Amino acid sequence: MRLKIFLLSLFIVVLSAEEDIAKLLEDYRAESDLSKVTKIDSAGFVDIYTRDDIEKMQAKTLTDLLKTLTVLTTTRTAIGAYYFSKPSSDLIPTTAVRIFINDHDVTSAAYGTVSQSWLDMPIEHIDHVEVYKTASSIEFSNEPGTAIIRVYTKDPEREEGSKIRLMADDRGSYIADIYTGHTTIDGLKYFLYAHSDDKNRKKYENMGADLLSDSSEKYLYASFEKRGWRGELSFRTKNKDNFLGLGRFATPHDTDSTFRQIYFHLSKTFDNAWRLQLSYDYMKVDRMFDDPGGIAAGAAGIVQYYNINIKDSVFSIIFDRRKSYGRHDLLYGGFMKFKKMHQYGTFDTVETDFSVGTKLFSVYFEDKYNINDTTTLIGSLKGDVYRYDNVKERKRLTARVGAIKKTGAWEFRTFLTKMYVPAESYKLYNPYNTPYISNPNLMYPDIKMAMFGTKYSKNRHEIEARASFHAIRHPCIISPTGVFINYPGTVRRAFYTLKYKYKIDPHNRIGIDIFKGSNSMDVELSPDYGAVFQAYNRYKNFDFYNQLIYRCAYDYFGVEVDSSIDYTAAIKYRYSDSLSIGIRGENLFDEGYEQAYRNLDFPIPVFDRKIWINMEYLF
Amino acid sequence: MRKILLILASAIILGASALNVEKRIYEEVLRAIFPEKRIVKVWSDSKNMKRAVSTIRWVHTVSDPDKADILLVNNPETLKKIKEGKLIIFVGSYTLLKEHQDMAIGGFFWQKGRPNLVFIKRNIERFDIKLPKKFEDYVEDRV
Repeated sequence: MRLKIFLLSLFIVVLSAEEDIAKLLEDYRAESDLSKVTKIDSAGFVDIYTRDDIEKMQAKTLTDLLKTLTVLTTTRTAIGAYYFSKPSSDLIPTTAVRIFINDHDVTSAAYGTVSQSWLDMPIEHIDHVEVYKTASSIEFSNEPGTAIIRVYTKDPEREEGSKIRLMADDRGSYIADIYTGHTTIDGLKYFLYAHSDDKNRKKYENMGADLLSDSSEKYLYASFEKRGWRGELSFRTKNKDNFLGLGRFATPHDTDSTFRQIYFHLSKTFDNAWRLQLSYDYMKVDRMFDDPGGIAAGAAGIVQYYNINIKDSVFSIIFDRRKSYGRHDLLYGGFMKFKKMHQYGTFDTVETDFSVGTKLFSVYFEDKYNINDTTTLIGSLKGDVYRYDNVKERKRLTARVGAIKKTGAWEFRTFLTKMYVPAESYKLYNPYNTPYISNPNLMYPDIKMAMFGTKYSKNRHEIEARASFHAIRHPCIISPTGVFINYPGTVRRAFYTLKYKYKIDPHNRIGIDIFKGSNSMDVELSPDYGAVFQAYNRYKNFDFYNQLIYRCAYDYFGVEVDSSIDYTAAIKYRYSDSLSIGIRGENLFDEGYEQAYRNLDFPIPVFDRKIWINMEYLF
Repeated sequence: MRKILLILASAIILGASALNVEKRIYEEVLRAIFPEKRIVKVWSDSKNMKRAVSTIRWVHTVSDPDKADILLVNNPETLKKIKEGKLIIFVGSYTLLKEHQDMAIGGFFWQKGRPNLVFIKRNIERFDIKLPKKFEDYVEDRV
């Protein structure tokens, strides 16, 4: 009997000891998460999706993550692109959201950003994602944006291997990803990624017309690094149906879009801390709409056939330096961007063909003054000059002051920001006034933002309260005659978020975020309150993810939209260190968020109910 | 580029807990290799590795590799200068271990997105190192 007890004790000791090394390695993985390195606390309210989160969610695209954000509600535009609305308000301006892939701002001369085209980018090559809200982007040495999405690719030094992932859904879609990352003995680090997909979505009907939103995509990404020089190359092409299209009554007959973007990005930080970045973006968009109900095309009037082609290029040079002097952490530098857009189109019998060039010059300075270990004051200033070929020059200033205080388990932060939203080039100049009626005198709307946040972290609990207040002066709207104009007044918005997180261990946590928003226009064009619940769990070789998103009912220009509950769950079985299989069910109750449109008398779900199966193999 | 710099400096910026876990891993590894030694002398060509072990009470870092009980190596150039078979070498990267698996007894590095610990069987036998049972799963013939 004693021998049995001894052997049992020995077995338990050995077992627990064996677990210790594995547990230590697991703890190290969790504690070394790269988001802890890249996160910039002073840049705004930040929400992070770690690699572990993304893997448990079995997320396929950036949208799978972003749909769980509060305050920014992911929705679908009339042409089938994903974009954001803010609580109680309609879509936010396209130039307000910027997406960075590592340090590269994926940009466009025509639209200012191409965030709408990149919000559904594949993310199998992505390590982690940071979403900054109420930001100014000075910290990111780039053009202004109030919402900054930073997407970081996997680090070849941490990969040292390859991975294949195959996914398929119950509508016959497929996704295939493959990547490899390696460091050679002479110090060359490289990461190569290829993606292909073909996605089928639920078809809707309106007055006998099919509303389609199927898509297919190819995406290649490569990064190389040696002796401090880093180069990135990316090519993405996406073909998709245009959903409702642009027709007055949303009765598309034939719709099709092709989006292509290629970019390269070269960077080097020198020994004296100066950093040089050179980048080039080339984008080509071809959108074709055919709607017998007619499409408004500016001076061309109402047309049935609408085909617009945009070719644009952006060349950027950024030169800046991060340097610490005593208690001051300084960032200073400048950048130049040379943008060229060429637009041509056919609108029934009208043909257009013109170019717009823009030069953007910026200088910026930021000082983070660490009064002591717990208190930091931050001040930043940025001056931008936009020189257009065809319209008058614009000069704008961005200023930001703030403070961060940490005391015991509490953290407080407040920022005041004065910035602006640049107008897209296509709104400023179009000699044909087709398909848009441009306005060379369009002002850049001013934004004043105040944000306050407090976080309490103790043991396994974390509670965070956020509040932000925005005043947008002269926002850009379209007049009843179809001209881009500035709204003569100021629109005020307020947003509140309460977040609670309970972290059981590195692999098990639950969280709930509750949000509420309002605007001064007395309209409710999107849900003004809601909540997001998420649970990330691991049990033995199984990973679990559960997500419940609630958004309240709203009324969009007379179309009543019910409250929504999106329940998404994923289970992954790790058969070995190399092989795992999983299943992800999206919007399982089929009661997910619905978007209403001006030209449609019924709302349409933003996301389908779908079941995906997933196989991942590491080698 | 900032990302790369930040990653390079990650060990400095990362929370104390990451460094603390790294220290505990090296503590386990060094104790397993030198179960009898009261003081273990360590030489390293890597600031990060040196920083992780320097807070271990019974580890002394030395500046002369010949006076060390073990070399923690992260630079390929270091291994070119070392005479094979004389010193116990433990590396900090997968590429280095793969390239020098006839020389190094093992390594602690990232691979396939996870931290990994590997001991090369014939090399630990060559130095007559008897690892505790809890390291059994981490001993391999080759990488």
